[in-house]
Amino acid sequence: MKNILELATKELKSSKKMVIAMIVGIVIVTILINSITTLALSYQEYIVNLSRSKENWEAKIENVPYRDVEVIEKSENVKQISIVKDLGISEESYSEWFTDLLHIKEYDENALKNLEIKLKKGRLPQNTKEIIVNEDMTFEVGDTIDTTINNKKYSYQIVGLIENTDFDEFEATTLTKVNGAITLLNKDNINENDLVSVSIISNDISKIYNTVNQIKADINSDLNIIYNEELLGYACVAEDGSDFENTILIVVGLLIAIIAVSSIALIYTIFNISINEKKKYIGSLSSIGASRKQIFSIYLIEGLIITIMAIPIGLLLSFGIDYLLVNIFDGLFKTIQSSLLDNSLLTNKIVDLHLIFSWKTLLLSIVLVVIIVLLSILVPTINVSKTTIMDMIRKNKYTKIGKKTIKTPKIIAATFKIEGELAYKNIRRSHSKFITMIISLTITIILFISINGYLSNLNFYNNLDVADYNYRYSVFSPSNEKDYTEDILDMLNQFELIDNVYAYNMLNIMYTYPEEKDINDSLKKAMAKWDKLYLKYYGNSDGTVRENALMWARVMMLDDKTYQEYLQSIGDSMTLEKNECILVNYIDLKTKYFDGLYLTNYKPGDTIKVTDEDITFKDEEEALEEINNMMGWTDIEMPQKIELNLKIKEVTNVIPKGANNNLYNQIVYLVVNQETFNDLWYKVFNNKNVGSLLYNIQTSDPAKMDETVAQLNKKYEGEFRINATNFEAEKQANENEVLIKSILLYSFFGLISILSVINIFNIITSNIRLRRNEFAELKAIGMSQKQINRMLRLEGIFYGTTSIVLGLVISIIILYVLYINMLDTEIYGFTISVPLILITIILTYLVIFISIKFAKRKMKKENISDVIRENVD
Amino acid sequence: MEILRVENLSKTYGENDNITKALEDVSFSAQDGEFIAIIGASGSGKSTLLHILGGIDKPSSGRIIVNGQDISNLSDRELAVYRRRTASLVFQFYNLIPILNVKENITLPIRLDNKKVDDRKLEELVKILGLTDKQNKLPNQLSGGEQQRVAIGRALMCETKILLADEPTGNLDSKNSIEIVKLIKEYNEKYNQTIILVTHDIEVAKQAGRIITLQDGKIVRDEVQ
Repeated sequence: MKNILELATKELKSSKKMVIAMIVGIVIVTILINSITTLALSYQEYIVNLSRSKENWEAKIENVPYRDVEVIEKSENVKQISIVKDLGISEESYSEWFTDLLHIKEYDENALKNLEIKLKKGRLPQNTKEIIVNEDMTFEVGDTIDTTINNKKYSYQIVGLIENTDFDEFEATTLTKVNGAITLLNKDNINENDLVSVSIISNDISKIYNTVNQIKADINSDLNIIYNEELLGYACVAEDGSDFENTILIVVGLLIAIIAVSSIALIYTIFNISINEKKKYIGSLSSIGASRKQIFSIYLIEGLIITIMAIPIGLLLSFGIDYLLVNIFDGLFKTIQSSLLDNSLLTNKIVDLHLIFSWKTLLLSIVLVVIIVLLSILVPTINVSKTTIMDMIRKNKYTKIGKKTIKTPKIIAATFKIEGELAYKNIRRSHSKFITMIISLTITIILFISINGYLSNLNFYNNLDVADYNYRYSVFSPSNEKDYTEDILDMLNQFELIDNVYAYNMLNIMYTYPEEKDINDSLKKAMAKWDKLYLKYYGNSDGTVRENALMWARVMMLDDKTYQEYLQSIGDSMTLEKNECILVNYIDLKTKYFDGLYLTNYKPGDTIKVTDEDITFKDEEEALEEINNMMGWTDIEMPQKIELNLKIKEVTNVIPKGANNNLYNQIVYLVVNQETFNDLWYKVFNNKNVGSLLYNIQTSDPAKMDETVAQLNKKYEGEFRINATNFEAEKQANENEVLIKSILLYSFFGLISILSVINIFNIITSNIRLRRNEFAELKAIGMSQKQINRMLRLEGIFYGTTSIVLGLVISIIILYVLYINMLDTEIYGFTISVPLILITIILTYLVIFISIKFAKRKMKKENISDVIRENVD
Repeated sequence: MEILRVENLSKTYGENDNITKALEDVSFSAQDGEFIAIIGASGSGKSTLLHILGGIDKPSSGRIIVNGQDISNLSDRELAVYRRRTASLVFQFYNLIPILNVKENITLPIRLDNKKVDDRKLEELVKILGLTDKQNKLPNQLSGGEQQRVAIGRALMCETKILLADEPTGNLDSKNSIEIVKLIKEYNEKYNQTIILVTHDIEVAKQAGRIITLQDGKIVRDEVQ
């Protein structure tokens, strides 16, 4: 054994190139596998924490007699319990109009901390005299509330308002609303036999079912058990599994399978080439009496030594990379979280992403790497130990070839002549090399195309929601007494947060009924797909235009500054007179059926009629009138229809800032001046005041804006409230999602392609190196260097073309599956990016030809006679 | 008619103190249709001479005039054409292309020259070589003698003026050796092909019309039988 170890070590020292290539390969595999398991674990922990940040309990045991709570608390594996006592429902109603009841539950300190409470105002109760109640009730913070439950009188001071709890109820038929209210558990006023609900947090969540079963056995009472399925699902311990668990397993499994195939292809090739080059030496070992088993051991040990050297390097690098990634992702995840949170809640918690280390996953990674290496080196090692001594000693020649003549397809022989035929036979001579080469190339191609396709789908999908918004933030402040918007803008301006303000007003519920000749052909064509494209307002299912086709017509007024900017953007300068308008006639959207949708054929000078009459309700209105007549309710007046003819001064494709248009509401926008707008407004709303302008704000720092708005709202509480929508956060969250996935997928692709490129390079250079004899022989019988170069180039082209064809076919299938799963196939067509495919093809050939070029450098200078003589020696 | 003339050919390896003279001032000429055997001990320079004649090695000094053309000045490209059309080589270890079968190996030089293969001639040659039932086999399925016959067939197929054979029987038993030499001699007589054969086997050499003996890189004897 000692001798074998010594020999194996000597072997290693003599084949430095192979050792370095193997170490690089194994280090990359270790990085990939350990990072995937570690990041998956960290992500899972994050999701679990996210779930716990909403409500932190794993199992809830109801109907526990209070005397038995201690049994639960002292149970093995129970870390913390939250106790809730149901006080009951109030006897009195708090509204004159409907039955408005109070349902009070007493929470202990842990329950206030761990169970879900959506606090909108104020704070949590700190003693048994304080209470938080549903915000829908007529109470305010500071009010006192008296109630009677089970003939007992209670009095509380309201310290906070909350959203609906899971014990709020509403019964429509009896008009009964039961409002949730929470106070602190009064432990002095609790009976041994009172029933409470106990929520458990365990030390080890994977044993939660056993723990609960044990408790059930210990407490002799009729308990009701509820598990937190969401949390247990994220923790991957749910009894019936979970979607999350399945997804994680599939993704991790798929990635590890890709890694395994790529890395086995690489390590196998390196080891195989190295062993084949040393056949002569191995032959000498056998001839002096080394047994097959000993030779097998030498090379197995050699492989294991390399693995043992490479794994720690890989693990260190992996944890370094993961630490970096987790820190980057932590910030990105937080933005996503805050965009998903309801900004009005005071109980929001933001969860951190941590790097999770676990001995189990570390061990799993190491075992996987060792298995991959063993699988890779086993076959070459067994083969070499089986080869006969004479085979090995006789010649160190690359003659690995089967017994069957390889038939060259006629088309190759005809097109590429003898060089093509030789090239084809060469690439097919070694089955294993051909296969590993194709695997390496194909996997890289598939990953490259699929990852890019997936990310571009994701981008497309995310942008469908937000691309329409050409602003980032909107504020408005409705108030009965006074419009505070100008004041608010002034305040925000002081914080230097506003880059630009677009102010406008809009009348939403207006229609126009264009005649058939006025409807654009592109819209008519789209109508044929009316059910898919929601075009039912315009067309019939047979594609014809509906009689009196209804079209939304949104009348819009811009403030001076916004209007001037708008004119600039459409490249025009004009003044709109009364009852004149600019028509926006276009939806900028690409679908299966159109690339940009023009709505009407109106030209400048035409007149468009807008009305508030919705003829789709005409039948109902007529029916209503008939009923009125029948019943003799003649004093009921049907609302007057309003009609206005607007002269079109300009037709444009550009939508004003602040407005948006999409497939689901095909709208013609009509920009008018203030006089026209106010006139129309008075008519529609029976002389009511024209509402305040809407302000869309462009800001470079939406997060700071959020903060400032929250501060102002606190400061002016009771006076006015700023309603603000942060569109940027949504956009940012989407962008972050793409960014996170891009970083992960491209890193994965990068490392896999390093494995593949090393492999491709190795195969090509070793193929050329091992065939130097053959090249000399070919030259000796009259093949020129030019012909040999052509042959090598053709080999590269055959490898490349086979992989590209195979890779493209598989990639397109994957892209199609992604398309079906990610986009609305009824509306959006399946597209393949031609530049992406061209880049793939160019990169593939580039890698191959650079490898060939590199391998050829030495060959050219060699003397044919010398090479042939080596044979004789 | 003189087909080949070697003038003051020298070949040295190494530099300064380590200089080794493989060939020293070798001169001789060969007539069209001549069968010459070159003999000598190991290291006498006979293979080097043959390789230089075949255009796969370059002389240090001297000239080799084949068909009136000095091949020592040819470019690599021209040498490749020379090997295809003027002088074909047969080696001790056959040096067949392992991925090509018998027929493909034999026709390879012609196809490298982008010429059409004369099927009748191929058939006839394969028959003479005794390989008719082996013509679709790969080299690793043939015996040593058969492989050498393929190598010779390859050299004969392109009808070069000169056939250069480097120890063609060196790896064969005596029965196979005799057959191979008989084959070469037959072709020499039938097609008037010039043959230069390197061997250390005196029995093989005796089949040739002229024997040149090399010793330490010099011609020490040149006798016509």
